[in-house]
Amino acid sequence: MSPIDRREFLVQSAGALTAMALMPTTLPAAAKVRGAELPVGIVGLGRQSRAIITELAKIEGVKIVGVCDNDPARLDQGAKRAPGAAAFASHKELLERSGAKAVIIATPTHLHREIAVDAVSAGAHVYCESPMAHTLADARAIAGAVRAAKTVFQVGLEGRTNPVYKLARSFFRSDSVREVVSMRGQARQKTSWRVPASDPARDKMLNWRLDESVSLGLAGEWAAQQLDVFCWYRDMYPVSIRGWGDVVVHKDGRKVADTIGLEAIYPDGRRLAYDATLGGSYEGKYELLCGVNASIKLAWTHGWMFKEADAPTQGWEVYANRQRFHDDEGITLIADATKLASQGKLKDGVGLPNPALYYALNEFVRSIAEGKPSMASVDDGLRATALAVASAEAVAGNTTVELKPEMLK
Amino acid sequence: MSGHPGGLRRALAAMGTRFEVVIAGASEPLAAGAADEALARIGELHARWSRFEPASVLSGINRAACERPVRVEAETFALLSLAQALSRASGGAFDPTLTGRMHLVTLDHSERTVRFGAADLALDLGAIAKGAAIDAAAAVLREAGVPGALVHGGTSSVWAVGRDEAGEPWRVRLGPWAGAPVVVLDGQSLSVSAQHGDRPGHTVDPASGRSVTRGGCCAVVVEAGADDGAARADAWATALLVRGELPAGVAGLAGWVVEPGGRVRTHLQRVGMVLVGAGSRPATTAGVPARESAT
Repeated sequence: MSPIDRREFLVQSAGALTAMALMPTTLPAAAKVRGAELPVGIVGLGRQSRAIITELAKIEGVKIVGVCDNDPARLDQGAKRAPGAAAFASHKELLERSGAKAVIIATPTHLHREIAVDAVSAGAHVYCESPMAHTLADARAIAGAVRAAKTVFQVGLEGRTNPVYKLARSFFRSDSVREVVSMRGQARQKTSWRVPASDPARDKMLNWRLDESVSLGLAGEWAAQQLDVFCWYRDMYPVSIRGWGDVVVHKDGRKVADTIGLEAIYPDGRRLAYDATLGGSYEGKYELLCGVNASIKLAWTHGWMFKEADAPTQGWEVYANRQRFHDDEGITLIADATKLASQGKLKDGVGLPNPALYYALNEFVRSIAEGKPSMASVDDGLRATALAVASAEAVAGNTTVELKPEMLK
Repeated sequence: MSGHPGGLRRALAAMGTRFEVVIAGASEPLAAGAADEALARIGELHARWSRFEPASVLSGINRAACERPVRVEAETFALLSLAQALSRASGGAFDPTLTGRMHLVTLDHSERTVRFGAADLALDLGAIAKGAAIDAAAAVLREAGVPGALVHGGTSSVWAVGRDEAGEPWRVRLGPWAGAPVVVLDGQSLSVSAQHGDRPGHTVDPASGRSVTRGGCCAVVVEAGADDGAARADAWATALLVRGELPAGVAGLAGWVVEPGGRVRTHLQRVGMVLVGAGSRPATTAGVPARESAT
């Protein structure tokens, strides 16, 4: 066997062995809508809507038939990004006149309730960005409407539909990590979170994230999504959350903290440390679960497992793709390894081939097409809202907030 | 309205370079919001158009378009359409396939799909995406109503409007040489493609497949008011570096080659742009790696 043949053989073998372990969660096939196209409406045409339009274009059988925003400039820009879609200044008009059978809500969080309840009541399938609401009362109102309906409702808790996260969770749940020692998460981005607006009325409307009367701040916009990952992995929710926060960098009169820290305590006494800031970007966004046998690091399009030297060898990991992190070496958690190995692209496929949002929207369309329950249900959204509300309260008061079981219902 | 001393500056690493936004004459909240939103747009387009991000739209096209038509959203389709038009207009000197095979890329305008006619074809938008990202950032800054702003990507693609914090026009020097001429920007887009030193550069001549070795700094300015001015300047600057000339019939732009030492050869003058001597006033330097730029 020549050196090249031998190398190819080893790559193929490595792929095959890795794939044996990774097969349970391969990349989901693109959703396909049977029969006619699925007409979709988008409510809210800010930054997130641009990403939504980009990802929806990849999903076969989906057609954007209506877009909606109460800001004329955003409505105009959004309509240009979705050629052929009708433009509406109110969600009620969109529900009545666009013909949309599915609605994606990407408005400011405090506006979700009315739109979600109206859409569900009108018989539309709904995808609602996370957090689902800014108060528990709003989250419960949405949950009540959804439970009375027969349509699909999915919350944008993207970890639950992310192929890498699902794959890593299967390892986590199958005892690869063993006893959890500690958990850590962070989200860091250098930005003011401010949107330019020259007149005060538009400024208030567009800069809702900086308005403490309606915004859960970093606890709601970023932490809720990530805390949900830990709860989903562990199948349990914290009993208390201690928080702190401050305006460290953007001293422009805002009261919503630009830097926060959280410590969540789980029923088994394990602790999760979390921090988020708008003041720097080092290491971005990730979640880390450390156990006695291994640690799992998740970074949205990538995932790695770091095995302890004394952890049992399972065989496949000897050949797996690895990446160096200072003194440690991470085994890359690759979704769809079987297919990539057969194509000789195992190394190319260390990251997801699409953003996490694509998989969330793809699962939403698949749930509608196949009549399957949502992977991120309204109850998941309600519990994540409870986490966000408790976290925001802890941050605002620099205190500890108990998360009582009734808050999660 | 009090401005930020020296203008508010924000930067972002994207598309293999460093983008910078400078805002002048605006209040701190407006300037910060406008700069952050502009950089957010650039970051968004990096995630969509980078050849090196596996999850980008472009990577998705390159993986699948040889097997089936790939549907893309309107903004990406518009960029691909512009790239195809510029490739034709430049006689293939600007070529996103890098192999002279843009004619094998089929764009279906009714379905908004892209399809490759060869299995080994791939698109590289490196010579136009940076400019398109600057166009998107410029749109944000225009809508925000900031009085003065400059955006550049790695100093080689620049758009500026209004005045700087000192109330002076935005001046950009073409090349690193002391005697290099200066262009004054107010709404126009500038792009520079340059080959420094004797080593082969990153720009490839699609006709020969070889790296371009032409010395000097090829600069193109596109007139103010064009929504895609920076993207077009970006592509034409590459075409000028590849061929050493611009087609005579192209409207709305000016092109120069600044040779080492600062001597200028004018190739096209279809806009009312005038190059001026560097003089003693400071200017942003175009066409050198960002870490070497001087302002």
